[in-house]
Amino acid sequence: MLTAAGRQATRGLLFVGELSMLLFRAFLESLAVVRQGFRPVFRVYLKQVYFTGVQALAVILVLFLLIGALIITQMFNLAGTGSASLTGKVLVWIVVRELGPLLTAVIVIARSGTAIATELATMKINGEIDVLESLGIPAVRYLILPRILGMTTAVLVLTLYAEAVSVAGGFLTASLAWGVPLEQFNQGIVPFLTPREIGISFLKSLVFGLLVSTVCCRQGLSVGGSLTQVPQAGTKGVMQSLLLVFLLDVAITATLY
Amino acid sequence: MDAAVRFIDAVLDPVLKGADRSFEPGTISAVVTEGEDVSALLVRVLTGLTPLEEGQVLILGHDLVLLSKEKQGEVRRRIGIVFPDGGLISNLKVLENVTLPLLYHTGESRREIERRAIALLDRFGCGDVLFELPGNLSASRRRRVGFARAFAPDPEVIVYHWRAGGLDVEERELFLREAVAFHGDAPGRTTIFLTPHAGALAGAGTFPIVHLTRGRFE
Repeated sequence: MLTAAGRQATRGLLFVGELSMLLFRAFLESLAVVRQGFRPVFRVYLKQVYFTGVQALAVILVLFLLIGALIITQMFNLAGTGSASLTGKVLVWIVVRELGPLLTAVIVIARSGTAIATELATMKINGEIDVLESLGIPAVRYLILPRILGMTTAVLVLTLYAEAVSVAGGFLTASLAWGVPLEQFNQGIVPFLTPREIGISFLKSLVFGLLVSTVCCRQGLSVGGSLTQVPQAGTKGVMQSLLLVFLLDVAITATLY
Repeated sequence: MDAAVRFIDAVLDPVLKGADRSFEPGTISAVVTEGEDVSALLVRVLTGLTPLEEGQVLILGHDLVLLSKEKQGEVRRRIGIVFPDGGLISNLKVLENVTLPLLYHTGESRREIERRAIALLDRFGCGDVLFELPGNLSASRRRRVGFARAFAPDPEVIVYHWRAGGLDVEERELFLREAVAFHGDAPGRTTIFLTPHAGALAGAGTFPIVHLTRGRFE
C-alpha cells in the first residue's frame, strides 16, 4: 500500500513537473514572439479569446445573474430585509471570493478545456504539429502560447463580468422583490469590495486560467497515434483541470484569508 | 558549390544504412523508396524532425538536428514540402493555410501576402474555396492547396512526397507540370521527388532517378 502511495505521489510530481515545463516553454516562446513579431500568434490568441471568452459570455452572464438573485433571496429569507448590509457582505464573500473565479473556471473547463485538448490531440494524430514544425513554425509558439494566454485572458475577463453581473442580479432581486433601495444595498457591498478582495479574485482567475489551459494543452499533446486517444485526452484534461482548480482554490483561500 | 541536400553515411535503421548522396542546387531528382512509410520518414529526416542514429544530413549546408530552434526555423523556411494529402492545418481556412508561413516568416504586409496566396490558389484552381476549411474539400483540392502553400515562400529546396494513387491522369499531369515549371522559376532551386513508384513520375521529363534500396542510394 505504501508502495502504491509512493507511486501515485511520484506520478503526481511528474505531472506537475510536466505542466511546469510546458508553461515555462510557453513563457520562453513568448520572449521569442516579442523578438520576432507576433502577427500569426496574435491571430490565434484572438481566436482563443473569442471562443473561450466571447462565446461563453452569455452563459456566464445568465448563470451569475441567477446566482446573485438566489443568494439574495436565500439571505433575505434567512435574515430578513433589515439585514441588507449583511446580505451584501455575504454576496461579496461568496461571489467575489469563491464562486466568481471558481465557477467561471468550471464553465471554461467544460466548454473550452475539452475543445483545446481534443483539437490538439486531433492535430497531433493527423501529423499537423509535424507539418507546422516542418514549415519552421514551432508548435509551442504557434499553438500552445496563444491558447494559454487567450484562455487566461478570457477567464480573467469573464470572472470580472460574472462578479459584476452577480452583484447586479442581487441588487435587482433585492430592489424588485423586497424594495431595498440602492443606498442600503450599497452599504453592504462597497465597504467589503476592497482592492484586496478584488486582487485575490484576480489572482485566483489568473492561476485558474493558466492552469486549465496548460493542463488541457498538455493532455492534447500527450496522445500517441490512435484516434481513440482523442476523447480520452478531452476527458483527462477536464478531470485533471477540475481537480487542480479545486485544490488550488482551497490552497489560495487557506493561505490568503 | 555546396550540395543543396547531402546525405553523409546516414544511418537510421532500417531505412538508411550508411546512405551517401548529394543533390546539387538547380537539379531535379527522384528518389524511389521502398514504400510510403519510407518516403514519410525521409521527409522527417530532411526537415530535422527525426534525428539520424549516425551520420549527417546537410540541408543547405546545415545539419538541422544540431541547430537551435530559431536556426532550424530559418532553414526550414527555405525548404518546401509537398505532402501527399496536402498536409493542411485543419482549423485554418484555405487562404490562412497558404498565408501562414508567409505571415510567420516574412515582414510583408498582410494584403501583399494574401494577394500572392490568392494568385497561387487561382493557379491551382482553388480560388473559389479561399474561406473553406480543409475538411470540406476533396482530396484533390487539399493536395492543390498543399502545392500552393509549399510554393508560396519561394523555397530553395522543394521536396515532393509524391503519391500518384487517387489522382486521375489529368491531375497527375497538372501537378507534375506545375512542379517542373516551379523548379524552373528560380535558378538554383533543388527539386526532389520521393515516391515508391518511379512510374508515378512518367511524363515529368528526364532527370536522374536514384533508388533507396536496403538503406543505400543506388
